Amino acid sequence: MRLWRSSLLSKNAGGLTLVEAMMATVICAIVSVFFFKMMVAGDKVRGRGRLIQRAATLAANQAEYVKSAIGCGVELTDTIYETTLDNRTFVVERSILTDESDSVPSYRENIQEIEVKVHLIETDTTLVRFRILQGTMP
Amino acid sequence: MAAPCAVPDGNRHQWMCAAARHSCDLRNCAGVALPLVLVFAVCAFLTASTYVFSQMTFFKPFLKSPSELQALLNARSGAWIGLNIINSEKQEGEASSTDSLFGSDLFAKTETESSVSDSTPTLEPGGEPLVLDPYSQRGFGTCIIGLDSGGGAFRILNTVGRFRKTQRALKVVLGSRPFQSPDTVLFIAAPGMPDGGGRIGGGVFFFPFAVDSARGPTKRSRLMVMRKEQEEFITDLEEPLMQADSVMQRPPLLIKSTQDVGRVPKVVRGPLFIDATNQDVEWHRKRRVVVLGDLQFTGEPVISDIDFVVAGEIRVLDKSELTNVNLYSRTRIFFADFCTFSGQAIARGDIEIYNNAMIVRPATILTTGASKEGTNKAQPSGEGAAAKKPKFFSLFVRDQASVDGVLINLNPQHGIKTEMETTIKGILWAEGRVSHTGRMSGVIKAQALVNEDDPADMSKNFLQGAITPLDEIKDYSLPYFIGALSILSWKEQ
Repeated sequence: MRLWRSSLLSKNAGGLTLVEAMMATVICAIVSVFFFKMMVAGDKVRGRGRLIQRAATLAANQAEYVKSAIGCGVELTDTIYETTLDNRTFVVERSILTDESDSVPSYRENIQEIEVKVHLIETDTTLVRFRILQGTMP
Repeated sequence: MAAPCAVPDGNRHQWMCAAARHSCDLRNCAGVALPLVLVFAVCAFLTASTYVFSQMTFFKPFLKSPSELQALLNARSGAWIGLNIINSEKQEGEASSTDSLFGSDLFAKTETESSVSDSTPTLEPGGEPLVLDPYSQRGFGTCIIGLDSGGGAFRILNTVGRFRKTQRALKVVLGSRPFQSPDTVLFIAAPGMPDGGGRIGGGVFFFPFAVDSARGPTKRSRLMVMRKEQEEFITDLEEPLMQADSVMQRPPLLIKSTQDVGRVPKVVRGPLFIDATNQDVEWHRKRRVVVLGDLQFTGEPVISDIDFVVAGEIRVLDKSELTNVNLYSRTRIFFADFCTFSGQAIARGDIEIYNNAMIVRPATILTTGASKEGTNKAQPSGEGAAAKKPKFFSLFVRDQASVDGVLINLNPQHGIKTEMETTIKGILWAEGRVSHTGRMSGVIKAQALVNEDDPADMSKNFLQGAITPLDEIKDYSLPYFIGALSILSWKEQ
């Protein structure tokens, strides 16, 4: 290192050249862009993770409601509602799916298929979407 | 450019001179820019990578949470599918049902069901698990459903939900809960409101007397006893006894202290007496003990979580405390004195609960009433011993005994008898008759309520005791071979 530095000093005693300065600037610029992109990517991961987690929490609440409904004798129907969680407003949709085709397997007869979707109020893009079956107690 | 050092000699001046030279070098370090920039670039790259990595580490589980939830939902969906499959299986049984759907399969969808039944998957205890797509649309994962061969009088359904790389397991206990509402307290087949001055604090339901077994296999219904499953259940209980039956019996094994408990082998080739009269006997271990002779508990033993499969009689006496214990006797079971019992007690002969014995929840006391006379060795006092007289009962609650649980007699020729000072909470289920003179809250299901002085007469109902509704009746469950199955409990793993 010392040898390399001394040889460098001896050869470039004239100070910073224009080429050096330009290269340094270009490298700095590239590195800065990369650096900020990485930071933005990290923030996006965090933001998306939090958003998905909140949406999944809302969907899990809905799934628990569906599970408990059977014990309370509540008949499930389609529903849609808004709810605010950590200053973000989500839309939770629960829909009972009806299979019109004749190809319903026998093991799924008399069992409701339910879909739960969650999205932000400002966008229609679905954050999470789940399916669940809910039977009835004899 | 560095100026020559003209400072006079002296250490101080030499040092200053060196410092001046050094500063001059820094100003002349042309060509160092590139390595410096590279060093900083590497630092920036490392910093940014660390930041992104940390964010990924902390928040990746959040991105995974939807997968885990869908896997759990698949497992739950599998439980419903499993329940549906079991309840749809056609059974050889006695359709003495109060269902609104009673007999409906005679008229509707006969062709459809027969055509579908061929492709309907089936679940066998301990058999190959089913792998199914639970939903109408693919892409939400699969569920694996298997029926456990354990579980005693209840079925255990294991399901695993899979979605992408995640999977969640669920264990479901299945049993029958035929009585959902406390309003109706009597389910009887014999016509007419009961005579005898008994107190009836709820509704009475009369169901068809005729047993429609000639119709062939039908789907499970609420008050149906699945004879084939019941026989298989008893056969499974008998299996360890059959395996050890040929072995010559040995003298009684006496357990008199907790230290002795370790001496009990898996198969006791003779009677087993657990006597905690002089020393404590505590035995808490999940295991099964096969006893080829009689089994007797005396003193104050404290026992939990053990299954006893016994060829002879079982006598639970004194202040024995048995918690979550499963008892099976090929002959008879006696609960007497001040004993306390919770768990399942199943006998092929009589079961007697007397003195101040206490049966506490969760408890299922079941007799098939099918024991051969020759297998009964000891003859206790009371009606259970009346070999000469025609036998009308094989499950007795006597004296000041109290029961909080389910009492079942599956023999249509026999029944359940409760005496005057007994207290019962729960369900009395008899395929034959019931003579009730005690106090009870819950439900009685029987072909007829009979007079204890004239138990042969099943043409009318006679009740001397009291029966009142029990709010929590829907929490009392019956074994899997009675009625349509429900989910009794979930355990998500």
